[in-house]
This record gives sequence, C-alpha cells and structure tokens, in this order.
Amino acid sequence: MDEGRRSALKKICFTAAGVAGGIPLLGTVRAASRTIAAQHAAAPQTKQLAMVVDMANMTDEIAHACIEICHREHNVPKSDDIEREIKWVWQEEFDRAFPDQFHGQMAEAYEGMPVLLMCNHCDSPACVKVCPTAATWKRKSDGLVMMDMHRCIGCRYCVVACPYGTRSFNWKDAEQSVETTYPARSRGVVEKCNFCAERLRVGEIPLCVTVSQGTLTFGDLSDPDSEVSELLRAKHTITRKNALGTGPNVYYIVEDKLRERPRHGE
Amino acid sequence: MSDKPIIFAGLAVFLVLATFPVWYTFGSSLLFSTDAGPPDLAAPAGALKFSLPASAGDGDMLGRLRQEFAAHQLPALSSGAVLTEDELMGVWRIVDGEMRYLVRPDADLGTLNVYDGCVEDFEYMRSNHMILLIEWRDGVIRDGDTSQVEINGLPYAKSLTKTCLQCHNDREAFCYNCHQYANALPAWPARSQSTMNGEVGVRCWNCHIQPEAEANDG
Amino acid sequence: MANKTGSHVLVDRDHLMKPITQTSGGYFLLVFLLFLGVAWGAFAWIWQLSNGMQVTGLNNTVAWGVYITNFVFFIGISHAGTLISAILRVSGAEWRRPITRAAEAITVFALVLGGSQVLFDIGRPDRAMNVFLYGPLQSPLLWDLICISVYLLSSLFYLLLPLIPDMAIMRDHHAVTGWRKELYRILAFNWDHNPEQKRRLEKAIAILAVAIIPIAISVHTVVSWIFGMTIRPMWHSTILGPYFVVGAIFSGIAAIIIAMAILRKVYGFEDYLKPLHFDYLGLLLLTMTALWFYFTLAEYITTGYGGLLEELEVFESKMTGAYAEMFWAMVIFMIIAFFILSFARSKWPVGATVSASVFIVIGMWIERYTIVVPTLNVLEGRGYHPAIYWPSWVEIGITFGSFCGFALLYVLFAKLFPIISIWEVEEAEEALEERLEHMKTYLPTGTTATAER
Repeated sequence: MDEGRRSALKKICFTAAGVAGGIPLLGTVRAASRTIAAQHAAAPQTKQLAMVVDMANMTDEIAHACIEICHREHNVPKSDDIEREIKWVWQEEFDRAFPDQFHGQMAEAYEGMPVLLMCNHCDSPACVKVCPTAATWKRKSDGLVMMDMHRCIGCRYCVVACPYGTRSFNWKDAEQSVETTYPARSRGVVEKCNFCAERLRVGEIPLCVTVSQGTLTFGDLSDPDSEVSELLRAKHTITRKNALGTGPNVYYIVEDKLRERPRHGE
Repeated sequence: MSDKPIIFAGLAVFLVLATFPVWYTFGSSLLFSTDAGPPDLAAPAGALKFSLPASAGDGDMLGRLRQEFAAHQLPALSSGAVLTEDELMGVWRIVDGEMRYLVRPDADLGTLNVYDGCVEDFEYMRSNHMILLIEWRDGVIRDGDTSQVEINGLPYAKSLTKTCLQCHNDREAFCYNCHQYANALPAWPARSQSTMNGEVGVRCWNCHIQPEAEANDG
Repeated sequence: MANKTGSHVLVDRDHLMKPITQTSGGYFLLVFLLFLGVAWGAFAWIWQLSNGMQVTGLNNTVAWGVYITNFVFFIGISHAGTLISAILRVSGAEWRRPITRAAEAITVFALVLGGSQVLFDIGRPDRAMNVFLYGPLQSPLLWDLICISVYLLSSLFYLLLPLIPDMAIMRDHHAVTGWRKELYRILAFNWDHNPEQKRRLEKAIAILAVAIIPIAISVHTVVSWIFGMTIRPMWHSTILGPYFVVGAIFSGIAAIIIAMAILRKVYGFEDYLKPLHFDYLGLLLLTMTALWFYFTLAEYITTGYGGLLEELEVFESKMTGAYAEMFWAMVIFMIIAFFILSFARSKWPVGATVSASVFIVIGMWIERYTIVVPTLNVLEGRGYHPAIYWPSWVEIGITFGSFCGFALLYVLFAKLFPIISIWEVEEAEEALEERLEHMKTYLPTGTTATAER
C-alpha cells in the first residue's frame, strides 16, 4: 500500500514536472517556427497596419512637421530634460537607427543623416512578451501594439526590453493641454506611438501621414492591393534590426538616397 | 521580565505602522473631505419635465437647448428675448430616477429639466456604469470594436468623453457626488494628491479633457 | 556524557538563550539606529511616492537602476539558507548544525526585502494588484512572482518546522514568562519530545530539504531570465541562469559568514560557531569564487571574442568605458577574496573568511549592478540619448533603509527565537554515533566484499 502510494506520488511528480517543463518548451518551439514562417511569408494572414517611410524624399522640415503635429495632438509634454523627454516620433541619425545596416564606406553619405523613427508595431513585440499586466498588447483586429494607460503599473520592463527605444516613461505628471482632446497620461506609466489608433477608429489616417507630403505611406499589409503592399513590392526597403526577429512593420525606402539628398556636411 | 514594556511599545509602534493605511484613510477623510454626507438627489420643487431629442454626434448642449426653447416656444424665447449662455448654464440632477438638466433659478424660466435617455435604464446605470464603461473601453481599445450604441434610436460611439460626458457634463453632480459618498476613489498616492489640492479625490481630469473646458473652447 | 569517540557534546542552553533572556543597552541602541535607517528609507519612499519617479536618477535610457540591482542582490543572498540547511543537510555535512537557523532566517528576510524592491521600482505601486488580476503567464515577471512566492512560503516552513522542538524547550524554560511563554506554547504545537513526533518532524524536514533545492535554483534562474529572455545585448545570454544561481549561492555563503561572525562576537557563541565552521564555509566560498570566475570568464570571453556589434558596445563600456571602474573593482574584489581564502584561511579561519566575505558581498552587489545597468546605457540603435545614471538620494535612502530593515528583522528575530538551533546541536551526539556506524559499513572490515553481501 505504502509502496503503491509512493509510486503513484512519483508518477504525479514526474507528470507535473513533465508538464511544467514541456508546455513552455513546446510553446517556445511553436513561437520560433511561427516567427520564422512570418519572416518569410509574403503577406500576413490577418490585418496588419504598416508604415513605409520614404527616406529618399523626406526632409527635415517634413520630419519636424510630423513630430510637431503628433506630439501636439497626443498631448506629449515638452521637456528640456533630454534624458527624460517623452517621444512618440523622433529623428535619429542613420548609423544609430540602423547600426546593422551601416558600414564605414557609407559614412560620407549616411553618417549623421536623420531618420524618422517611431514604434514598429512589431509582429512579435518584445514589449508585449514581457509586460506583466498585459497593459501593452498586440491588437488582433489591426495588428497595432496598444497601451492601456489605466492598467500599466510602470515597471518599465517594456522600456528596457524594446530594442528600438520607442518607449518613454512618464517621470512626472503631464498636464492636459487645451489644444487637444486627446487625454494626457498620469505619471508612472509608459507610452509610445499608437499609429493614431484613436483616429483609425473614426476612419482617419495617422496624423504624421497627413503632413508628410507623401513621404509616409500607411496601410494594411495583408491586403495585396494596398498602397503599402504595392510600395513594398516596388521599392527596396529595410527595417530596423531585422535580425532580432521582432518583425518591425515600419519600413524604410533607402534607394535614390544619394541622388535625391544633399550629402551630409554640405 | 524587565524589557516587557519596551517590547510592547515596539509592538505598538509596529501595529501603528502596519495599520497606517487604515489611519491614513480615516484621517484624510476627516481632514480633506469636502462632502461628507450622502449626495443630494432631491428634486427641486416645481421641476418642469422637458424632453430633448438627441441629435447624433452633436455635443453642443447649448445649441440644442436653444433649439428646444424655440421649438417649444418657452416663455423666455416666446417673449422675444434671447437666452444668454449664463442663463442656460445649470446643473444636472437625478430626479425621480432620471437625469435632469436644471437651469439656474435666476434664469427666470421657472425650473426646467431635460431628460435625454441613456444607453441603459437608470437603475442599471447607477449600479453598473463602471462595468459598462470597462466593457466599452476593453472592447474599443483591446479588440478594436467599432460598433455603436443606441440612445433614443440614434447611434453613438462607445466613448466616455464623446458620448457620456456630453450630457453628464457636470462632474460635481455626476461623478464626485456619489464617488465621494461611496468612497470609490483612486488609491494612494493619487488620492492624497488631489484631496490635498482641495479637489474631491478623483484625478480623471488631470489627463482626460474636461467637458466644461471643451464647451468653453468650442 | 561521553560517546564512543571520546568527545563530548555539551550544549549550554542558558547560554544559547541568553540573547532572548537578557537585553543589554547596546541592543536597544542598535535597534534604535536600525529603526532610524528604516525610517530614512521610509521617508525616501514616501517622498518618491508623493513626487513620482522623477526624484530618482533613472531616465528613459537607463530605466532600471539600483532597485532592480537590490532585487537581484537580495534574492541572491536568500540562497544562504538553501545552501546551509538544504544542500548541506542532504549531503550529510554534520557541521552545518549550529548554522542552520541563522541561515534560514537570512533566506526569509532577504526574500521579503528583495520582493519589496520591485514595489519601490514601479511607477504605480497603487496598481500592483494588476499583476495578479491580469498577469499573462508569458511575462518573466510572472514566473518570478510564482517562483519567489513558492520559495518564500517553503523557506518560511523550513524556518518554522525546525523551530518547533526549540519552541518547546523555550516554553519549558524557567526564565521565560508572560506573553512570550504563550507565544512559544503556540509555536511548539504541543511538542513533548516523543520519538514519533521527532520521526515525523525529521521526515517533513527531509522532504522539504530536497524540495527546496530545485525551488531555490528555479528562483534565481527566473530572476536571471528577467534579463535573459529579452533580446538586449549581454542580457540575452544562455549562461545567465546558471551564472545567477552560482552568484546567488556565492553571495549567500558570504552573507551567512558575516552574520555568523557578528553573532559569535556579540553573543559570545565562540563555542558553537568555531573556526572550523568558518574554515569549511571558507572552503566552500573558495570553490564558489573559482566557479564564479569560471562563469564570468566564459561569459565575457565568448562575448568579446564573438564580437557581435551590439554586444561589443556593452562589453566595451564594461571593459574600458563608463562602467570600467565598477567592473574592475568587482574583479579586483573577487581576486582579493580569492587570495585571502586561498592563503590566509587556514591560518586565520575566522578573520580571513569574514574579510573575504565582505569583499564578496560588495563585489556581488557591483556584479548585479554591472549586469543590469550597462546593457541599458548603450545606443546600439535604440536611438536614445546617451545618459549618465547615478542614483539619487532617494534611491540611496531606500537602499540604505532596505539594508537596515534586513538587519532589523534579523536582530528582532534573534531576540525572540534561538538563533542557534538548540535541539539540532544537542542531537549531534546521536548523529555522531550513527555516522560512525555508517562509516564502518563502507570501511574495510577484514572480511571480503562478497562475504559481506
């Protein structure tokens, strides 16, 4: 009897250990194969909104207009503290934005060249994986990486996990601006670009696209006839840190760069 | 034992510290509370029942009131006078289970109330508005739900600020009054910040746009 | 009473209970000072709660700092108890007996303080319940929550179970009166020293000892996975799990050595915590130092040799860049500890192991810091501004308060409960004879092996 119970206990323990070890292992294997499959798939199966940034025709004026309208309408507080400023869309130099696409021979043309950056709304977002409250999640209906400002506990795990630096923490209380109806954020939560989800809801396109003079193209990747799909088929585009496997959905057109833009330093 | 009093004193200090949140809540309710009694839900005498048809997507309460006054040929307008904004400013109150817009007494209109209907009946909304709001929010934000709700047969967006607050635009009457009474307030430190600032303990308007401010701007 | 080896185990119960039955003025002064430290930490935390995270030195580039460092460090220290009580128990190291209680107390209190660090770190602690309400299992923080809760609970049991016979001894002691007698009566669970009770207790402890080892390993593995599961340079490393476990046991031993030395000096426990204990623990510490060096070398040499661009940026910041001072200070501290343990341990077992332990505890805190912070403070295409992170007075205050709180809990524990397990030391006499019998079974006895079977 005692032996029987013991062996039964052992069986239970081994089963539990097997389940505890096996399920995460299986989950990891499944996630890995899906990531690889997604990387090679022509188009996503479900709606995935994406942005194509035409760096060839983007100028500083356009970029500043995009940043300005986004930050004003989304109540992003202005800050003189460069280390703690909140940014949804911002400019960064090419060699910092694309460290794995840059080499010394490109230096003259590309070093220091500003690039417009924003949240990539990745296929497999590092921030969503780590969030302990699901305050940030990948929305199935349109593929946006969303934020719930009422649920976020401010652990900043997403800030440290995001390899693109798109996330900012609210170090102090923001003030509601009178210029816009978009709610501000309380201190202690993390925020980022939301592809203007509040505008998409009422059938409008993101704010930055409206002032981009055609250098930003926005649309659904799963639709082969969408503007972004056609553009991606026609042009050579790159994404940030492609090798990380996060599957960024902000694409950059680099061709014609040297022809279209004055070289850096001139 | 000789160190007994000291140990007891230490235990007492520990107990005070451990139960600090309880004392803090109790103390702050005494010190900072602006409204300790139950919310005033009584109907003013002589309230005039007055129904206002909803116009979808239109948040301009003032304009709608003006139209209604004209349509019903109310005294103030039938005599040719134009109501000023000041005269139309009033407060919302719950009267006989309905939301009513009460024009200020000195507006010389008698007492007037406006009831627009709501997405659910009054009883449901009083006890379950928070559940409804969370369901709306999770649906819209999390699942990309774009469906609309109906009020008086007209479609409205599932939105607190764009739909609810267009009518329930007096936070003193609609939010603070009951939330204060039910002590349904944000946790520390959010609460202490606002109570110490002389507000009533909700910080919604630190982030969300205030209906009044919107009305004044627009 | 003499046993077959001719030695005596003589436990002076009154002496072991002295910390409980007698309280000096120095004790009150110590408690008061520690309380002041905790009060400063509490003030700093209230200041942070009232003014928001802007009062820390953190920023969007270095979003995690000393709180997370403290978290990893305290969880590491908590492995003291597991090592001493569980691993040494399972492996039958008899000399562990006087150290078990002191080690298990470190485990419990370090876990409490370590867990609190997360609360200090988050921007909206008022919403901490959201982790329980909505937490998705895919987040490594959830794994931590589960593992650390299980570990805290099992460690608490592992502290309380062996306390039962001692509680009975305390309950029956003449010097104990009043509310404390009542407390001991409750915690003794009607223990009356009968063999059946003892058999069951021993069995329960044995099961717990085996169970707690994988739990402890899981705890520090998932703590490392907070970093390891991300795709950030020098965090995303397969070695991080075992590296953290080794570091945890390493710093745990150092912590228990320091605690032992203080108890020995303050309470005059020289007869119970002998140089031999320090010598043995020092030897273990030396092994762990070597193991730590091996892991560190393996980690850094593969990173540096492989030379992935992102990783090299972090690597360089540690080798020659902004974090070089801290990194090399850590290495030098460990080298000093290694040489002290190698060459001075046999001559001055107590002094050498204690001073090495101090170097190791500080070195391990720096190690945690140089794992958490440098990875964040690189550009490597994140497009953030380079940032200088230096903890503010608030972070230092909360850290100081946490360490004082840890010490305060420990000091108060030693005031209420015998910090050296009385019954386990007394029982060593019987165990000694059992050991001797056991030894005979594997020593040559003159008969042939086949005949023995």
